[in-house]
Amino acid sequence: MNALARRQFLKGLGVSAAALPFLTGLPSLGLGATGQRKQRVVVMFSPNGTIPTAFWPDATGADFQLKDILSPLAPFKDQMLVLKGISNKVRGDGDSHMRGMSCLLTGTELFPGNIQGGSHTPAGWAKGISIDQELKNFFQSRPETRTRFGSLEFGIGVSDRADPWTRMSYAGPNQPVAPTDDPYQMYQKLYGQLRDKETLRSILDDVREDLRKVASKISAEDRRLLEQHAEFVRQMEKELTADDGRKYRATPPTFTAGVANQNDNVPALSRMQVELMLNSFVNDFARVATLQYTKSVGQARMGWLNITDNHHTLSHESDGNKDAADKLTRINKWFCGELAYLVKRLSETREPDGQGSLLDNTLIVWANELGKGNSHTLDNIPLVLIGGGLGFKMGRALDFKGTAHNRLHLALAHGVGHHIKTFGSPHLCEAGALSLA
Amino acid sequence: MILGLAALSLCLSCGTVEPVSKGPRLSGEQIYRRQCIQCHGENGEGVKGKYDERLVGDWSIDRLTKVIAKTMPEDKPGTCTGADATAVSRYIHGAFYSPEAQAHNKPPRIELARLTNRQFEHSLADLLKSFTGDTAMGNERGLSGTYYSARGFRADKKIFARTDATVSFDFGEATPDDAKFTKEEFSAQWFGSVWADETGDYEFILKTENGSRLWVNDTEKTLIDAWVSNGQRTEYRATLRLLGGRAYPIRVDWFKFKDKRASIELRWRTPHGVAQVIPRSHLLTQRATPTLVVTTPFPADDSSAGYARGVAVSKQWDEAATQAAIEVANKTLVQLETLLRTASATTNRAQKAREFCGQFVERAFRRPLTAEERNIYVESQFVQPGPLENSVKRVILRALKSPHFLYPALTAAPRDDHAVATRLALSLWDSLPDAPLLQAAVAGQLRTREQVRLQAERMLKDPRAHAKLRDFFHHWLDLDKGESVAKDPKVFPEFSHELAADLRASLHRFLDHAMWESSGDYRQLLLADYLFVNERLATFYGSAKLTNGLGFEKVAVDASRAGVVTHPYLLATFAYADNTSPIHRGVFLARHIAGRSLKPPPNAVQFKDKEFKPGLTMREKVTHLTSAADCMSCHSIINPLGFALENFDSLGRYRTHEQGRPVDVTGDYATLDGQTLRFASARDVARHAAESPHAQRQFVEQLFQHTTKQAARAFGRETAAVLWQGFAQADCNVPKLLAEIAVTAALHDTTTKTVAK
Repeated sequence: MNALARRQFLKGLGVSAAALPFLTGLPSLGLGATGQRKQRVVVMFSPNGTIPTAFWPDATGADFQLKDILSPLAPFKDQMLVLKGISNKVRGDGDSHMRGMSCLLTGTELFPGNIQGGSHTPAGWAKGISIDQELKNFFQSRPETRTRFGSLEFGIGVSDRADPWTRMSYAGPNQPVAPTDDPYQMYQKLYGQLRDKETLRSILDDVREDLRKVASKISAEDRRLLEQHAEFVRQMEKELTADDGRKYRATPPTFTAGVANQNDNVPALSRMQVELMLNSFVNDFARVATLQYTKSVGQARMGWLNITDNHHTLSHESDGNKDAADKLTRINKWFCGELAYLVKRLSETREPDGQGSLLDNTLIVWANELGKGNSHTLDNIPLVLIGGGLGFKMGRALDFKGTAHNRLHLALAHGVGHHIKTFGSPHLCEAGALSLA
Repeated sequence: MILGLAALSLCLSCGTVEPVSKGPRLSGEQIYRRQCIQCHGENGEGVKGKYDERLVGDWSIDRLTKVIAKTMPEDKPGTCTGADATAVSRYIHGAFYSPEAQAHNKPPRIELARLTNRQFEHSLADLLKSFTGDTAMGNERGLSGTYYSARGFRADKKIFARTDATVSFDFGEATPDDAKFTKEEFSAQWFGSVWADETGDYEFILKTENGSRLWVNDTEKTLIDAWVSNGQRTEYRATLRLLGGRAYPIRVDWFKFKDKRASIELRWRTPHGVAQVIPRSHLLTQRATPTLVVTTPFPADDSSAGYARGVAVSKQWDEAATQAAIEVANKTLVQLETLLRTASATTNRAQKAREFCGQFVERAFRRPLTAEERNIYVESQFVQPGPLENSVKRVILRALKSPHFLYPALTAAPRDDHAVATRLALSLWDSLPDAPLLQAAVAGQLRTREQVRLQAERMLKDPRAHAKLRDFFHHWLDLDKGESVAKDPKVFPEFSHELAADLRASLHRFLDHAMWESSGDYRQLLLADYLFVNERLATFYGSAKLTNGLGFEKVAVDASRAGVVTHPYLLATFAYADNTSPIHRGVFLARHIAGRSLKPPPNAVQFKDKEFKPGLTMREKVTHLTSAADCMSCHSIINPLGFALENFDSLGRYRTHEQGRPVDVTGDYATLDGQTLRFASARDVARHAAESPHAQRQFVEQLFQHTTKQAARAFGRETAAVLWQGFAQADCNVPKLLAEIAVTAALHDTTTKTVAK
């Protein structure tokens, strides 16, 4: 991952709760409690495949055991679905990594282009919309599910470049959506205006004082102009203090300043992003989110696990290299641990309208670009679904024996009431949506 | 100056009147008080329900006399004639009618004014620039291009470097040089600056089938990131706001990798132009530093006096100014490490932040801070606990919302030197004083006229002075109207937006040349016998063949044309979509070129071509339409001016016939001092405006107002006259006049109301 030395980020955080329109306490009827439960979908991404023997449960059905990589999710086993046998069957231009990444959520081929991977033909962007954006559009099209942003794309250690390895979300053909991997920048996006307002309010009194002092020293005719000006300042002050009608359930998280966007801070950055996502859900800023850890071919160096090798490099070691397999297992287990943290936070946070926990109304999909790093296989993509948001029958391990992943996207769409017949390449949808309910 | 008595139709019945005939001769004032006051009021201010308008205008006593004798009193015209009429005319002229009387009764004063929008945005740009630094642009046109035999722009793959006039290449399936590059893979980078003439939104376009990236006015973030191609020639677009009269860094990265073909065009669409390859004339090989451009939209400044002024505040303005201050604070924070020259871990960061804030406020207020001010505006903001950035943000917000920034005239007496510098910088640049000017202020070298003039002459050379003068011409020539020139495609299918954009560029080129590359003579603006044309214009207007086809060239025109008076852009702007409009052209010439004042028409009559007998010329139609007495009071001025241009059609092309009938351009024009001039060509009009002392004085006053945002009379009754005399003696040199105006305003002592010698 790049050491982003020149990268500027906003420090100076915290919007003082006292000054802002936040509600705490009991749910109020005014907060969109239509009786309809909310539905949310989160897609989490980690790269370079998995270690199959440490990932896949041996049995299928409700009676399955979690292996090492998935062990952090043990407290939520009954809310999980482990899906084996799902393949990314999209072919066409681009090498397996590029297709693994940019066809993962789009289910459609890449444009021919000028970006050359390690093999195959060069490629451009994906030819279609990704499922997270498809769901976002669906939610935004209906007043009852519309939110301020629709979707939020979070990243951790993504890198500055825009290419088919760093983008999995697409608003349409040739329209990649960039994740925000700087939590301060995401904070600014969500709360920047509020913070500006607070700073502004803190100086308006002084500005009026300035105008008054100055006005006393000039001629009567000129004074009139300054008096008018002072009146507008006073009005602005009043308007800033007044209730703008919008209420927030949760105060934004407090971040320590100065967490640089660098490899070694990935654990801290991960938690910051998760807290922001949680906060966004409580305040209903969005109902769709992505959480992208690094990128396809990601080279995280997980020093906090005492691993000094880079992720992608490790993933190319042969199966026989026990040391590499051990490290890769711990790396993937770390990713799972971050997922478990997100799940735990969702499970312990109540819905503002009182209808269960956030986890009850959210479905998280943890996906990967590849089945296995050293073979670049696109079969048996490690897939874990967790949460009650789409009403699937959870607490099982399933094996679909090599079916197209487009069918999973169809299941997600149908799960929120968006009854599309195909998603991505139509010929990969012929067997219809996966039956997960 | 307003035409008063002419609006006769608004004067209602005056009631009973005593005939003035027998008995001792009454004075003009007595006559007025007996006969005129009922409708016109004690001091000509008007009487509601009778004659609502003020009795003010610029007619001579002679003219007033004639009109009074003919038309007054309204219900019994012809009863106040001869010596009586003369007496009344003399009285009202001296008491309140004439501009001199007006000025005498209520002398204009220098009004407190806030920064105009233009001053606001340029001041902020230069405020930040004073910290980030600037570079001299040099004169080399084009961009520096470096070509590589692989993607990645690595030094060991560099093949050659050269200056490219434009970035517009189509290599097809080949390469820049088949001997040195392989078809499969090569790349290039271009660096330099792009020049923006006007302030506004610029649309940048990369047209290519390959991968490319574009940076404009930002050395880190791309404006367009089209690195990933799809093999099809595509136009990638992004819009950016730029301030006119400045250069902005530009960089293009481009590579071909296994695409079938290779091509790249760097294009743009300027605020009033059409999309085209960015021409060599607007590219510089020297790389500028980025400029902070405020993007918050502002409500338009008050222009009721004919130029933008900051004499009013509104809620929208206050909100915009506040939003802009927040914008500047946020953009400054993003670069804070660079501005403080620290890495975030440096121990004396707080110290450096305070120093930066102190300098920021001083430069914003255009003068040093007292210890008390430093405490209020800087130190006290660092007292509260919390990150440094919050303190810096508060300082910036407070400073930019402070009246000391927004109202530049608010300087206390002890800081006169800085007041001089402030006024000079606002007059010549619409911006803040630069470092040399501030140093001169501190060193006490802005005391004498000679010293201040020296600074003004230095500042004239800066592109910001050129931009300020260009802004003046924008108003003087009413160029706002030209922005939406449209012609009826059935009548003029040969008209296009490209043509209009070229004409606009041609006019700007002419103005720049006449003012800064040639003699700078005001008369040349009106009488010049040349035009700037490119290929398209040369073909359209049938001028001489161009020699180098590299953009605009100076070509001679015959005596039918004269400077701006006959520039096709203005002729086309002041015309209908399907025909000429002597009225629009006449009004333009009267107000802007000949320096006459015209009130709005009493009856707004629309020109409807269908209502005329077919076969009439435009002149005949207009004459008929404006023949009524009420109309003629203004149209006797407007029409001869407009008719003189009838040799030029709606697109500014020369013609001798209109619909088969010969064009009649003759007209009799009455000057202010009672002379009648016969115009028989456009050049006659131009010569009059060029040489008429009245027109010249009007020009001086208009430039004065535009420069200082105040009326000339506010700086002394004789100021405008003195400036005009100097102007006339200096061969009507406009840049010198601009400098003299700035010097005069800068040294004006507001306490004693005298002009410094």
